[in-house]
Amino acid sequence: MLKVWNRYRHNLLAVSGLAFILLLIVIAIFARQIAPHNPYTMSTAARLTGPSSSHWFGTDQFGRDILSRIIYGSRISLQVGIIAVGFSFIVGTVMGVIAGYSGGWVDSLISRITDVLFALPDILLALVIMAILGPSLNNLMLAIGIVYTPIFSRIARGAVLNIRDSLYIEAAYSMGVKKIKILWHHILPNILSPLIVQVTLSFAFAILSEAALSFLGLGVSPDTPSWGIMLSSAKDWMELSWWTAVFPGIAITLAVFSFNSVGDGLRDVLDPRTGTGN
Amino acid sequence: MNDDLLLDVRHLKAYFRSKQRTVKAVDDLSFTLKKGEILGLVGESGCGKSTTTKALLRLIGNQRKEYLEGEAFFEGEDLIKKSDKQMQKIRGNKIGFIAQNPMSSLNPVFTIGNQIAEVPQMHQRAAKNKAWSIALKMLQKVGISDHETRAKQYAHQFSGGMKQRAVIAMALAGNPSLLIADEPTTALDVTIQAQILDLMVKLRDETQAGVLLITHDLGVVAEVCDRVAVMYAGKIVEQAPVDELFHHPQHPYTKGLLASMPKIGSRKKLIPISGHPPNLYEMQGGCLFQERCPFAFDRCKNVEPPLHKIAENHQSACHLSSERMNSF
Amino acid sequence: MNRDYKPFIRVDHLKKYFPVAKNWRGKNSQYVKAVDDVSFSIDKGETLGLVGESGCGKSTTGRLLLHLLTPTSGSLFFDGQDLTQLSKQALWQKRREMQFIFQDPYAALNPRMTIQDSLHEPLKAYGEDKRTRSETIKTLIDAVGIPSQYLNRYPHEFSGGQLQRIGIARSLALKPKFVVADEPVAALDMSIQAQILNLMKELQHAFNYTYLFISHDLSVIDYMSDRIGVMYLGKMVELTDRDALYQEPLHPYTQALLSAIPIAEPQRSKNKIMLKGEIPSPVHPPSGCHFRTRCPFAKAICAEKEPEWVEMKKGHYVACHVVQEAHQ
Repeated sequence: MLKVWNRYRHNLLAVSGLAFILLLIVIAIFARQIAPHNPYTMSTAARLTGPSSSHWFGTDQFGRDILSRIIYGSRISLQVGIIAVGFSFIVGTVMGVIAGYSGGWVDSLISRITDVLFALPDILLALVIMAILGPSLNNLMLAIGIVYTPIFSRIARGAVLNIRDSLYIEAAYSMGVKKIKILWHHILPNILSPLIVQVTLSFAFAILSEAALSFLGLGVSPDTPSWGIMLSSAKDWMELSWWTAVFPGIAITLAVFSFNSVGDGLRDVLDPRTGTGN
Repeated sequence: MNDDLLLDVRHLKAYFRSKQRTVKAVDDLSFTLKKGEILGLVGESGCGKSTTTKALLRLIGNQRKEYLEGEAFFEGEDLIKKSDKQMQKIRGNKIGFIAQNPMSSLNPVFTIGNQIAEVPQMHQRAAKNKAWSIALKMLQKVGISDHETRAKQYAHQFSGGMKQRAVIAMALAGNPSLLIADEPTTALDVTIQAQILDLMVKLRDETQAGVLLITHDLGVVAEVCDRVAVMYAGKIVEQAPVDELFHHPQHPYTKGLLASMPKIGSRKKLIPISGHPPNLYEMQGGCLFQERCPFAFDRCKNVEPPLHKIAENHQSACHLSSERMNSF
Repeated sequence: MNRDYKPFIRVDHLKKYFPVAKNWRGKNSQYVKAVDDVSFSIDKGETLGLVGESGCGKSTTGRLLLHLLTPTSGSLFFDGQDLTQLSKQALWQKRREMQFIFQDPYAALNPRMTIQDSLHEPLKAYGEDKRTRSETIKTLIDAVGIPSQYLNRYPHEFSGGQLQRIGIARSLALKPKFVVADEPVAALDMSIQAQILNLMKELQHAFNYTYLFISHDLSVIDYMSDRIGVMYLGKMVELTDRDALYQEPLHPYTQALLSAIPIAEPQRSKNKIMLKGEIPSPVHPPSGCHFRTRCPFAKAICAEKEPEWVEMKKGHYVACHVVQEAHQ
């Protein structure tokens, strides 16, 4: 673990990405203490005022403080990220491991389902699911989770296939170790690294999808402080007051970029083929 | 200078450097090879035998992480001093190379005939049809039956032994005076190995090329070599004609190797060499074999034994054998 | 033959076919007959050697004996019980008594687990408590010569010879009665080979193990075995005592194999039986006797009929038309 960190810390981009994510988590946890204003409080007097000393990032069309809404919005983004990606990670990995380990018709069935889901564009699939389920935060997370399940399933299956025929698996079996234990002790730890990388990358996609779906009106309710909603409502006022769109946009960009660079950095240190030594 | 002398390697050193350490893969190696002679370079994995061939072929050179020093006179010219461009003309032409894994030398997308014909085309500027006829001749020479059809086939249509024959044909196509073979039969089955070894001896008799045979198998050495150099931890520890080495081994390492080999029909218990080979980056002073040597004494710890002449054509790098000489 | 005689291990008409191609309906249409009708027995405390070239089915036979692969047909008696008839649970119980030693000890250990954890694993699987486990492991690594302070290290921190010692310790942790060793020294340097071979012999002496020892190297097999079986393309062609095999090999393939092995004895007469051609593909073996395409004595009958497995002398089995005819 220490070795991995020692290699990781040489990647400046990945380290700054990690730092930003940690900052984001702190902000999300302490949003109430950090935010200068209540994100829901409207004020007709202070509608669409530009950045100033009392409202650093300005206010929106209802006079709500944009900085505070961005701070509270990090909660939604992280929540969507954690729950949606957690869903797809767990479900996808289980599906992939079952497919790869059991083989035969089970593998064929799971692989075909994965292929079908893969064939549809991500956002279209999410839209269809949201249209069926109806807009709500829970449904949003479920939809994003389903969309990113196949990628985990495919990665897990590939990794399992790769090591299923390893000699040490056969060795453990020949020594009477039960199959379920082999799965737990030998297979899972060895397929984890590509999955961890995918988790960070999917995190970025999930935040983006939440923003996109909320922007399209299929996400959370319009008064919720979500980065996507903010961007969506800003589109009508953008020409008048640039700050309503720019600051949420920057927040989304930074978060996505951070998760991506952490993912890339992890891939480099965890994959022995691209890593700098064993 | 001796007219028969084909290759004269003096004080060859090849090191690999990284940030933390320097690995002395080949350290101060000297040996000679005559025309028409087969010299076996034997040793265990990591002893530097393959690095020696890479150094001679200049596949490693003086770069950031590699360090090469010494002299290697081939037909009177120093290979180590040649430019990369000059080496390109020598490699595959005057020096043929046979690798352990034939697949690494054969290109899967060209026919075998084309790959062999490429050698005379490139080095002797032979015309296409002439090069092709040379290729056919070479395939016939290495004992590939139905060679005209076979020349038009691809590597995957050849079996393991045939691939190695094709690689030998390719190495011979430039009419080389020196053949370097790095474990040419290790990847092959015993009955096929016997065929290939037999072929190599026959070709040597025909062409009078010198052969440097790298192997870990003392049996192979005994079958085909005229002379043997035993390597340990980057150095030659003993060098002698093949009969002399097998019947009167001098260095404790050579003796140990011979005693640890199972022999068919022999009921004797094997006597293994204790311990394991040293790390090439954690080397202490003195004799490199001392930790595993049953005869080691004080001097072995401090003084590195030089390769010492103990009989006509027989050298050993051991304090014990040199002492015995001095006491006569 | 004594009717009450019950060998420790008995294999009857063992077959293992692997599908290699499917027809358009998805049914298997082509098979590699990896092991094709092999019968033999092993006595308690005995070492049976299996020798042959690549693709002869010796490794598959080893895996079938431990039921790591399910035989296509045939029966497999272990200590009086037919393994092919046992339930999953009963087979799992039996598995304790039969263990495997792998060719590549590095690949047989999980790279992410310490040696300690790997050694505990089989004992844990059979529900041994922690104290018993630790005691067993301590005795074992003492027996194979690994210092106990190394237990917390990972596989990549060991040399090949040390890893094979650990591999052996792990296979013996469950106190098996029968051990299949699949080329246990093929990946090791020669000076280390002898250490491992002697270790295996000493352990057998101390604990009365029954070994099936698999190798491509006839001299290693000869050193280790009491009796030797020679395999070629899925068939056993000869089976006898090691002395008889060396002194009077009957099957032409055994003779060729013996003569093809390079012997570290330069003065030896070099009258070799050189086999022509290469080993045919196991997907399309020759009709009749599989060896006939390379056999110097092949007759018309060899192409028509498969030779029978006949006991020519007491305990000396051969499958060859030519030998059987000459004997009549």
